[in-house]
Amino acid sequence: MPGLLKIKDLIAAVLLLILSIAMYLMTFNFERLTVSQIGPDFAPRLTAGGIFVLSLVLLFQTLLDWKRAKKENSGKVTEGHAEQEQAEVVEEDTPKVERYRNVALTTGLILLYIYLMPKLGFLITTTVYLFVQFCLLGQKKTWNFLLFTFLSVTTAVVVYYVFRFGFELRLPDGILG
Amino acid sequence: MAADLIAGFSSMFTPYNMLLIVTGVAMGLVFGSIPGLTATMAVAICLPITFTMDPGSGMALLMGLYIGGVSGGLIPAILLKLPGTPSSISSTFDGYPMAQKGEAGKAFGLAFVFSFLGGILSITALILISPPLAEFALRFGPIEYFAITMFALTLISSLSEGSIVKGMLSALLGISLAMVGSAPIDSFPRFTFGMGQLDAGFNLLPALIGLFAVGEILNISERKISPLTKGNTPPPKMKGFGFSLSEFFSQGWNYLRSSLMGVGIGILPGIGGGTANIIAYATAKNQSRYPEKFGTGIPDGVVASESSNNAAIGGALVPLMALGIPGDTVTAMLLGGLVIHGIQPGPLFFTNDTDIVYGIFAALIIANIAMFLFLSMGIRLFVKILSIPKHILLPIILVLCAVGAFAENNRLFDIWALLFFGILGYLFLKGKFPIAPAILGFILGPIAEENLRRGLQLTQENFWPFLTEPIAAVFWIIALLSVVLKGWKNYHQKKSLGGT
Repeated sequence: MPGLLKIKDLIAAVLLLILSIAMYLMTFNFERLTVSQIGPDFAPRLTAGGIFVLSLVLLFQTLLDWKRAKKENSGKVTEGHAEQEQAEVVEEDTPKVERYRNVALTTGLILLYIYLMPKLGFLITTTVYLFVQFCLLGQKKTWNFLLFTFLSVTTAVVVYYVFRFGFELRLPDGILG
Repeated sequence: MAADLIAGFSSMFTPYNMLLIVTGVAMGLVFGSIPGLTATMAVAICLPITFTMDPGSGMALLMGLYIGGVSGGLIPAILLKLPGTPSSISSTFDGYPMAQKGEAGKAFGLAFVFSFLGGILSITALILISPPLAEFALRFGPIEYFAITMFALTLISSLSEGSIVKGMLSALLGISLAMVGSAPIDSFPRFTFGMGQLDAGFNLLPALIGLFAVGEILNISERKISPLTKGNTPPPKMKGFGFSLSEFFSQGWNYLRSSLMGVGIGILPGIGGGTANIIAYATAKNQSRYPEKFGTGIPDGVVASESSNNAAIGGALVPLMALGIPGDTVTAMLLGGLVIHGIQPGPLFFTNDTDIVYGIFAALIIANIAMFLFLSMGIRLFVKILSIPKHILLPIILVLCAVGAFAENNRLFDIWALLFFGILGYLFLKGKFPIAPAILGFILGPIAEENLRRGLQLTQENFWPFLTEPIAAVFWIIALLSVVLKGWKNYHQKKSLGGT
């Protein structure tokens, strides 16, 4: 995938530039509560300045590399690091769209899990979360619903009671409480 | 010191603490041996259960996890050519060819014995170096601490993998994230966006677990997991340790050099076993009389890698215990574990909590022995564990992460923070930004700011002494050198890449 890395760097640099500017502007609302030479705004401004300068460097590096690669025009952009592939997992690489869809699904599932936990309680949400996540992560041929059900229920129950009685931590009870 | 050490041992020789150490080592070995799970993750998910223990017992468990986690990586490295953790990368170079030649038993024997010996040497170094270092550090004031934290941050940014610009950006982002919440000294709330829950800032635990564990889980979730096809490797036949005494003694110098390198690299902030094993392997190869044999399955390669990665453990604990500055990601977690118990590692740690300090030393030695026993007797079991599918393990780990984030303050907000940091960690991985500098930035940023402001109060608002005080100056110079060196190296690498 020539060029891929560079686009990511470009996006990262631009986002960081925006972030640093926003951060710098926000420090103007900080109030001085001491008479000292530097107040609570000093370190954030310094950090924001650092991010600004370094992301500019990253931006120029990326553009320069891109330009140089275009000049040499072998069609290949030298990639700093080959993407680390986990050979045991992948037979042939999953298409990019599918990979991002998978991540989005898992992220969404975790979001829902956290959102529902105080409402339905740890036991119910964890059981459901685990079951769905097992399915999301494994290929279809690994789906074993009996095993998944057993594992998700056992894990939820064991974790809940071990923390409740072993470590004095009461996880959200939700509607079961 | 000897008396303290004996006291340390006697505090660990209770059935409860011994059980904790042994459990920690066993769990650590499991986490280390499964590729994708690391010692950092093992410590992260066990941290919350140490909250209710007394600090000594908590540390006993965590030390077991640390030693086990670093050691476990050798199993898949030798059997499957897959390093279980970054600490075992170069164990695959000669370990796997040895296993292919039918010498798996010998490779394992060498790996266990030299992991053990590397560990013992580094713990000895830790016990000898850290107390005098702590005593020396007693005279450090805010000026010196500011210089040390900046030194650690610069070093980690420049030493971590990949581009130095990204490393430094990563550290600055970590510092920025730590600024959320009350400012030091005057407690003015910064970057809270009016959210009361952010007044105290992000908790360390959700930040650590999120960036490391959850980010990694999201990254793995990109691809559907199929069962390990290579998992049915037969366990190796062990007969004794598979090597003769003369073979053992012929590795003496290699062992000593690799272990000392491991300790040295471990002490430097930001790099640990993951870098140590590669450098030790390369050095062993360069200095060998038969460098061409490296990579074909010779004992020297396994010995260099395995003694150096375990030696890095003791090294990484030196700055944590003596200065309160974590050297790698696991020690960053350990710092969190100590702080939760109200203990601040650093110079005063050695005078105020002598029992815990020496308890940690004792726990490390016991854990090292337990690791050795587990591996030499239970290798068959650990080989079986390799075939536990990850699509089962990862969701369970995520649940434990969520519980861990929740446990510190019993608030759901921290689980949201966990997810936030998880997504951030994933983006870091995707953009090839190193994560370790961000973690160190998150921990050291506030320390640096506080010391800067304290120091300025001391010097009547004059910044000059920050640079000219001798101890501080030394740290600034080393920090500057590390950046220049890395920049120079990067430049030359680029030039040679462009040339070909």
